[in-house]
Amino acid sequence: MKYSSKSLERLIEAFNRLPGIGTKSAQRMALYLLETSRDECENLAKAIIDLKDMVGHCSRCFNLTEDDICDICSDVRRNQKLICVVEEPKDLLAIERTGVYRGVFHVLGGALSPLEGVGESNLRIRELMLRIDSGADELILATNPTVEGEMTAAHLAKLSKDKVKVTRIARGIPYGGALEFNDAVTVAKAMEGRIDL
Amino acid sequence: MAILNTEAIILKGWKLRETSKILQLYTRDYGKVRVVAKGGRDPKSPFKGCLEPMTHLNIIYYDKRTRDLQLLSKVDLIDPHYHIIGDMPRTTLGLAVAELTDKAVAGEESFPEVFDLLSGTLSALDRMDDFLEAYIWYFQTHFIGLMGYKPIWDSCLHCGTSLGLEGGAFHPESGGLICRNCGGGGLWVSSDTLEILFFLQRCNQDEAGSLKPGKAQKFEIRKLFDLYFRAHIEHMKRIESLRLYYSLCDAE
Repeated sequence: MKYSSKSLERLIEAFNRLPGIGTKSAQRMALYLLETSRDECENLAKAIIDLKDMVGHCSRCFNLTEDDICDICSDVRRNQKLICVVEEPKDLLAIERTGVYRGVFHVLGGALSPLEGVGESNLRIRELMLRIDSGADELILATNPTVEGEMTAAHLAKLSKDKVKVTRIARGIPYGGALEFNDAVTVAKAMEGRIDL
Repeated sequence: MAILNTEAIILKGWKLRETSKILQLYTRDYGKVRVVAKGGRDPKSPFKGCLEPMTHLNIIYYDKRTRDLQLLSKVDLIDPHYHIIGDMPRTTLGLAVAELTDKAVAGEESFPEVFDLLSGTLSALDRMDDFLEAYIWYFQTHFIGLMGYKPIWDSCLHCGTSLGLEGGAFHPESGGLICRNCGGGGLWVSSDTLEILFFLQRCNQDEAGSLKPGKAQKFEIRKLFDLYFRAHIEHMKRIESLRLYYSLCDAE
């Protein structure tokens, strides 16, 4: 045993399994919890248990929520006929952080990736088609600009372009960036996606 | 430890931790190499925009014989295969070529002819606009030849009779076809399909797309390559990218 206590070792190992947490950080967090009050530890433990017990997927858009329908889908001020398609809930959060989008979302649960065995049936594409059939004005494809994300967007566009207006999020030079420091693909995509002023 | 410089094509990649990426590469000078691009998914990384599958690069990496995972140091983009990205048939076929290379090539031996075939096929998928599946057929035809298993399509393996008009029964383990008189059973390859297979063996890469096979020929050729690769390449499994192409793009 590396540590003087089995419980301490177990907690360090548990933290160490979290993404982005190395052994040293895990050790620091475990020692912090050892020093802190019992209430704080109980709050943390309860928050983790509640997360597992309470959080599920919105039955409409598959965002993370504690209710059947998430806050975004149940917000009447949002345009319910403008659907933005993202791969994961974290992508939805990135768009929500901007504060400019007033439509709703659809979380696919990944992107088509034959090399990882992810096919059409592993994603929530059928559910998206049902939403489009029940009435939508525009579908914004906001999958990641990777080979898999672009392939998924192309497939969704093919499936839905006869039923609804389909748009793709722009790709290009980041705000505050400089042309010379961008890679060739990004600059080419930026040139391709230029807009009228 | 050596610092190596070579051309490489990315066969596939995996996320590693928050910002890094592991890449399976096929290199011109050192065969299949696995590298880690530390911080490669960070928006500020010098690798950004260069780490997607099928990208053709010039790379510098640190090679240590005692480890399986080498360290990527520098990349220069040679060809991102710009028109493949975002086009479903081109992407699935391009990924299929990469997947096939990954599954069929075992080690780190240099094989520049395979590299050129891989690079040429991706380039054809990027540039050409005709019957795209023919480029993977061309790749399969010449790849299996380079591996030392070139099939014989023109004569019976038993009696040597020419098969041009009648076709023959496919015997993947034996490396070709057997005529009706020699008692050939199994998958029958028609003369129309044989014509396509001859053409693929002698045409240049860019001409392959001019093929216009019928539905029956397409199915025959797909089945034939699948059986042939499974018979001769150890541990060869189904090519998932091709399956996706058949299911989502074949109607196009």
